[in-house]
Amino acid sequence: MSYTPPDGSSVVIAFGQTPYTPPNGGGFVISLGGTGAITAAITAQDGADEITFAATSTIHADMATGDGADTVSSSLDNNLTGAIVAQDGAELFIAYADPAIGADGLAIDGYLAGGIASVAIEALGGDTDGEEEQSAVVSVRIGASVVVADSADTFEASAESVIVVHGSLIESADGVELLGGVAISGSIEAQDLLDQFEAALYVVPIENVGIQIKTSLVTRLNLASGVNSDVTIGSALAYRVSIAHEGIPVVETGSMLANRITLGILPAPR
Amino acid sequence: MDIETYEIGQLVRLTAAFTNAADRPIDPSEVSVTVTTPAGNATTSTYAGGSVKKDSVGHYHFDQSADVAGTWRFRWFSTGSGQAASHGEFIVQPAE
Repeated sequence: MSYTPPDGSSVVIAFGQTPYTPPNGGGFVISLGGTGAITAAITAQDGADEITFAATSTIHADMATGDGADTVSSSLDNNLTGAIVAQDGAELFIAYADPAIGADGLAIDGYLAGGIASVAIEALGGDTDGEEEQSAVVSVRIGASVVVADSADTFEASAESVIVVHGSLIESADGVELLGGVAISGSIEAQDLLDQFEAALYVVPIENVGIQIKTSLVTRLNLASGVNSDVTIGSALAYRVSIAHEGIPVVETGSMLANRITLGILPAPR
Repeated sequence: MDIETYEIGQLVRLTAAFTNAADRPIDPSEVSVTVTTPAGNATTSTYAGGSVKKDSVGHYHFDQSADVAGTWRFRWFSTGSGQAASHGEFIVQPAE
């Protein structure tokens, strides 16, 4: 059974209709509430301002924003077994999980791709309500790669608990900032920095949370460890590497290679 | 690297020597140079395309006509085996 709301609808709550196609133009918020499962692809078409997954839900297919969608956010205890693709015009993707409201985590089993202005992935943990200690392990887990396309300005991932990317992080943005417990089992590659000489990649763990880079990492790398946190580099291949740490040794389990180019310039022979 | 100055009309040779972590010359899988004019127009040339020339193992050059006054930027980069990147600039003075 298919369901297509009419153009101009401002709020849509839909479960059980497959495939589901949000309307053109009108959906200022597409909110999937309640508990349920969606097994078909969700495509927000042109003009949607925001897509929000606001409660426990399972989506077994791809989700794609249409042109002009400003924000895509996925919160609480969601599980997405497909990919999330934020298309041109989307300004922000936010994925976060918050234990204070009983969520265990956010899992995206597919890949996350964005041709968007910025991407933020955040996992909140610890005592977030000020009254009751929260001990839940909250994670944002991305089963495949995170790909941030050319038009993205920044990629940020921050965590008080854990963000795990089981694939690669590939970005061609101006900068990448990883804060907190970010484990990447694949490679980190910053591409297409042709005119962005100041682009850098920062990996800054916070207290009691470590950073693991198991394979290669390309572009300029700045590592700064926090208190009681380790930086483990399995094998880093980087153009420029600098490491700053606060009394905690940087563990190099593999080789850290830095290929170099020595530049020269002179009038050509005649 | 100091910024070199040239007169308009000169042919400027940009060179790059690629070395690995052991400081030995290497031939990367692909060698490219992007030259950006003072007006901001960038052109990328590659060894594979024939416009970047190889002098010896790890040593490459590219000749750029200094036909516009101003500050030029260039960036050498290699991909695949021997990946690396570095950049510089030079100044072209207008004709007196």
